[in-house]
Amino acid sequence: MVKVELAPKNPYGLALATPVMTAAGCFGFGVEYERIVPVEQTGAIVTGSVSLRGRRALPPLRLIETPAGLLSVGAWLDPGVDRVLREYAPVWATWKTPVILSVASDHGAVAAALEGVDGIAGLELSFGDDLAGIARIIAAVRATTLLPLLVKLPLHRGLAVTARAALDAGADALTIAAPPRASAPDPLSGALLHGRLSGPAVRPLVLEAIADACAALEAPVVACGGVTTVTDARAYLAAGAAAVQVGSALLADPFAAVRITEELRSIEP
Amino acid sequence: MARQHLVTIADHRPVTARLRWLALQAGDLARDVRPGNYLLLRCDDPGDGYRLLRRPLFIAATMPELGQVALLYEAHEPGLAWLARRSVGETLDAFGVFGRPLSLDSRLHNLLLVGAGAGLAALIFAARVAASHAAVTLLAVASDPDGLPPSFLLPGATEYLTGTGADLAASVTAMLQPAAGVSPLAWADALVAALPPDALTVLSQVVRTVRFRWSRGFALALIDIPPGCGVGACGVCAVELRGAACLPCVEGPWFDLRDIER
Repeated sequence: MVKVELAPKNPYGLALATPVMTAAGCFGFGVEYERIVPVEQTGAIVTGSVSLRGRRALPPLRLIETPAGLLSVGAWLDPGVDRVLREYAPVWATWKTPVILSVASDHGAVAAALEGVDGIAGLELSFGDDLAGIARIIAAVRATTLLPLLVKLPLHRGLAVTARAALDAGADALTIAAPPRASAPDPLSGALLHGRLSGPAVRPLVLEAIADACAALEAPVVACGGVTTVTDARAYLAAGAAAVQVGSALLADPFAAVRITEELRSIEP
Repeated sequence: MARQHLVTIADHRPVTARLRWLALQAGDLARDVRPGNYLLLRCDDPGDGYRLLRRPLFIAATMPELGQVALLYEAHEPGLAWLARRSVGETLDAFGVFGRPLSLDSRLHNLLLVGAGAGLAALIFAARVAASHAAVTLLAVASDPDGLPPSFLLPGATEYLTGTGADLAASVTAMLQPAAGVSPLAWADALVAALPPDALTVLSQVVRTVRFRWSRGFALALIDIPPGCGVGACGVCAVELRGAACLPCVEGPWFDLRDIER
């Protein structure tokens, strides 16, 4: 299978042995699955999102099943960058698979804390829906670290403009898309819950955005949205994506990324 | 170490109008499982991508001589309703085993089990294991009789007490603080509970009332596991114990009741 380079203009580069990665969140920090899933068979692990100080695990995240989707209500576990560097990075440093640290807030401060740390091959910056000032934030992170930067963008009008601004500010690649906002009734109480939707339900939306972005941009684009089978992955790759991320499918099948990698390899030796 | 098991359904039948018994042909699991262990079962057809969460089900019994493990569940939501439609001979995708097993003192003489809901499966397993060396009493409560496991799932020597009512906590209180006679709590050497959070709070109060001394380790309680990853990656099961967050999917499901009380 052809190697994928997600940061061709970066001095470090970000080479993936396969174009199948895990998405932020559903695979935790990878170490939870280390003895269960052969992580070295995936292209890269994108970790759960971290901030400078982390957040309490309570109230816990709620995962609500919707037709062909999963509504995440609340935040995923965020142990904070200090714990990540202390407990997880030494493990990552022993892996051949690149680990990309997802950063959802305190972007500059987290990037600064990574100085001299082994085991982190790149950063994926995400911003929620607040895209005001992301070019400034990306530029600040770029000034702090030379690590390859992926910028994860939500679906929105003007995605191509935002994407170009992110690249101009120093991003090496883009991840499209962050899960969109959505709502669903609480199965227990019936009250309306608000969160973010992932899973096969968002795949057609993301596929269109990937096709548009790949046609308009020259930088590598990583597709993230509802990949559960090798057919889904091939559709994104055919639309121009350099790689795909597997997210919520990992909850149903922790081996999904490995399985898709193997099936891709058997199709495209 | 947890891993994926493709298991064949060996037996699948209703045991009450609400509860179903599911025996799985899984020789490698049958040898090693203990009370408190659970499996994450995939509850949709491969490739459907419709139900993205595996269902955690506590193991209710092991039959090593047959190479089988058994689960007890209620099909109260679409995923488990899908499971209820599966027939003998079909294959299921099970991920596990998860959960730290229950550890009981081998010198134990009198074990009191108190439960309701999904955790009753783990208590049935505990009764089966403990019955060889201890007198076991299972006190089960449910909103109606169909939510109570039938007595034939328990070892013959088990004393089985049941209560029904919409208020599970009130049912537990009524059975553990009887108006007349001695509470089963008075003579128990160990208490193991699997109840909803509000009923556990009430149980703590009853223990403090009935027991002269409540030493650490006397009472263990199971915290139920919601559908999630099973490995501590997602955090959906997070609860606060002794002022700190913990993840029952990897640190539990058994905890000292005194820690939960706080």
